[in-house]
Amino acid sequence: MTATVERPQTTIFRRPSAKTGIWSWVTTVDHKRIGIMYGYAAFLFFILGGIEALLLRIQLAQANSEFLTAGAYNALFTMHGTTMIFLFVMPASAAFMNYLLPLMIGARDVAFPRLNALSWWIFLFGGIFLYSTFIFGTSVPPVGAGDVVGNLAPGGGPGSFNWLASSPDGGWFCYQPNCGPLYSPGTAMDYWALGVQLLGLASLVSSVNFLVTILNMRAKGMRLLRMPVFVWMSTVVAFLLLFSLPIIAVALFMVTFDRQFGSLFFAPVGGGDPILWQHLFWLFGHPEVYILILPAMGMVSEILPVFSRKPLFGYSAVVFAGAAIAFLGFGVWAHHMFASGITPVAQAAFGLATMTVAIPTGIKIFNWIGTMWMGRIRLTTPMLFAIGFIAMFTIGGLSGVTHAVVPSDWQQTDTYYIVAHFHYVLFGGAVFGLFGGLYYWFPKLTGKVMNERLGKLQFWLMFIGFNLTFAPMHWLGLQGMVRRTWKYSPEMGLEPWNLAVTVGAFIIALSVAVFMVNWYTSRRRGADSGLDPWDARTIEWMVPNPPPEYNFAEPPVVTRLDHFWHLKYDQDDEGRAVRKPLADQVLAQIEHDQLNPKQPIHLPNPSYFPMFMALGLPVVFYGIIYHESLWGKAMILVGAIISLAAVIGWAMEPLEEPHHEPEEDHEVMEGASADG
Amino acid sequence: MADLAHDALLDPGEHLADEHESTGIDNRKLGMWLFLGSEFLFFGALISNYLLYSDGGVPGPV
Repeated sequence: MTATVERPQTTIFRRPSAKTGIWSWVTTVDHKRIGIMYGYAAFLFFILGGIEALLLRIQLAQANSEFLTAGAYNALFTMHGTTMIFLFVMPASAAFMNYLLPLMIGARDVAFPRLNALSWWIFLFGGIFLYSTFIFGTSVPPVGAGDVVGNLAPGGGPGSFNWLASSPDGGWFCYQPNCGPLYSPGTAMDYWALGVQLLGLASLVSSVNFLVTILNMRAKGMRLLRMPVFVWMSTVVAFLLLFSLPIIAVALFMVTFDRQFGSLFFAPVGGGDPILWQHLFWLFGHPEVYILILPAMGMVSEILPVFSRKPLFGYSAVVFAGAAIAFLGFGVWAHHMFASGITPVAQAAFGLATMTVAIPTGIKIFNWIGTMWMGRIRLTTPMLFAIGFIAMFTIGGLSGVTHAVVPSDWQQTDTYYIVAHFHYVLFGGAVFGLFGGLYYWFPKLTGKVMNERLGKLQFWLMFIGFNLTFAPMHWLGLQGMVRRTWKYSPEMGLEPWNLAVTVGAFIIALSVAVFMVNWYTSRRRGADSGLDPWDARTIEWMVPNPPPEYNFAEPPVVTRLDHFWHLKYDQDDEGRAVRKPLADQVLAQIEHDQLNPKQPIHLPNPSYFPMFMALGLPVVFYGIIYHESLWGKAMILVGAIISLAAVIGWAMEPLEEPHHEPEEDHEVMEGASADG
Repeated sequence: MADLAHDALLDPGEHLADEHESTGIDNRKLGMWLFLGSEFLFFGALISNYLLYSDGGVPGPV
């Protein structure tokens, strides 16, 4: 790459230069700003998904409740699942990766900064596109369903919130042929299929970007096995995304063609195979659950050593266990399909393969406990969330093994036992990990520390609320409570625990409210964090809080794992950590050096084009949904022109704005500015 | 990276600080290879669907 080559400067495609204000955010290519935007958007969708969950729980608090119509209930559980997976946990993980990866490997930005902005804007517009179904989408009952479904038909029967029934109602798994044109006419499922397609595209773009960043842009000495575990888990997740998203992309295109253009991929009436959809969906869907959990595992692996004041127990075992989980994750998809009539041999094979996932997972749990063992533990809020993660994830993992036993799974399929299991791994696992990460890296973002008292209050509220919500679902499910059904009869004796579950859900909501108050007040009035508030181990803490735009004035030369820790601590004869006498001076020197670069640092220039390129895509997708009308066709054309024009602008953009500094200062940061 | 040698002549100290741990493959080339790896799965899924349906089913809409 020829970073220092002068390119002819054109004034037509002058790059934006705003440093503050709304345009600076729209045009930014700074990985930290993109990470922050990802984080806030993900949190907003977390709130929306949470409101959907609360409405579901109000409906289920009593037997035969008339709070929601069946149509609204179906729409809400579909959007709850879709939101929490594609619009909350994945972008929240992407937020952490964006913000932290370059800092953790000692880089000044990601490999392709403009591509990074592109994935953020595609994600945002994809999320808005998906949610616009509440306004534009339609969900009409199948032809001839009329009296048979009664309350199932939107607009039919008592209950409120019926307007919600205009959104996708086929479940986040979109099983065929239920989601096909025959049984789900209307546009709602088209919004779903195309919206998820957009979100997948955003993740695919960022996975390539993160992988190149990690593989090619590490600071000197940051060898692969010196990388923080969070970076390793991000690598694994990026590979999972890279190889699983194309499969769902194909499957979603097939659904869209079935629904829009009359193909019969999944329609039994034309020789199509609905089970094929399940294979394609779960071939993506199972790696997807590891995509959701592995970043949280990485965060916990960062938090535990810091607050145990010990190195991570069995670093390489944790890393390779993460990679092993990813490999196995591609070979277990049919365990979601034990009740679909696949052959006994397939059931046995996939059951066994699923059980083997417990081995690397067990290695990780063992290593986390080993990290805390004999450590000097500080029970700060991030540490509480990390410990909560281990405990809750272990419970969820154990109930997962019971699904791997095929006869047992037949009893559990489509009951609340399954709901309990995946919330223990995804809420007790991923969400606890994310909150731990938020508390832990809040000082990195803001230069302040979050209030510990409120933080601990939030942890205990969430911990209690979480267990009250999801533990009773185990026995509700074993007693035969069926999922995805909006009513149960009072004779089943399920009411007391369902009421408890609903109370638990509201306690979780309260804990999230406490978190928001804490976030807001700590940002304004939090205690100053200084350079190293947690006595941390990894090099992202070797830049000031919040980091300057260029991250590192001097990229560090990494000498060993936990490089930052070894700058501060020596070992005495018995192997105990002893703080070096000069540690504080070293910290002050680091902060001073990083704030005062010796020469000007050229950063990648902001750009309008990622946003405009992303803007064209939902326009095309709206056009596809309404392609039968003239204005639908026009929208396809307009959207394509917007995106194409943005691509051309992107390619023609000058490398950087002309400036007046002498030639020898042209030390452009390598890779990052040249393209992206 | 050809420029590193050039920079090193100007300022040997900078050379050390600028060196990266990397695969030695150009960012753009590596990114494209990773994307192509992803495309294998994309077309793999399409082709396997074709093979599955090629000897059965009814003719699609014309």
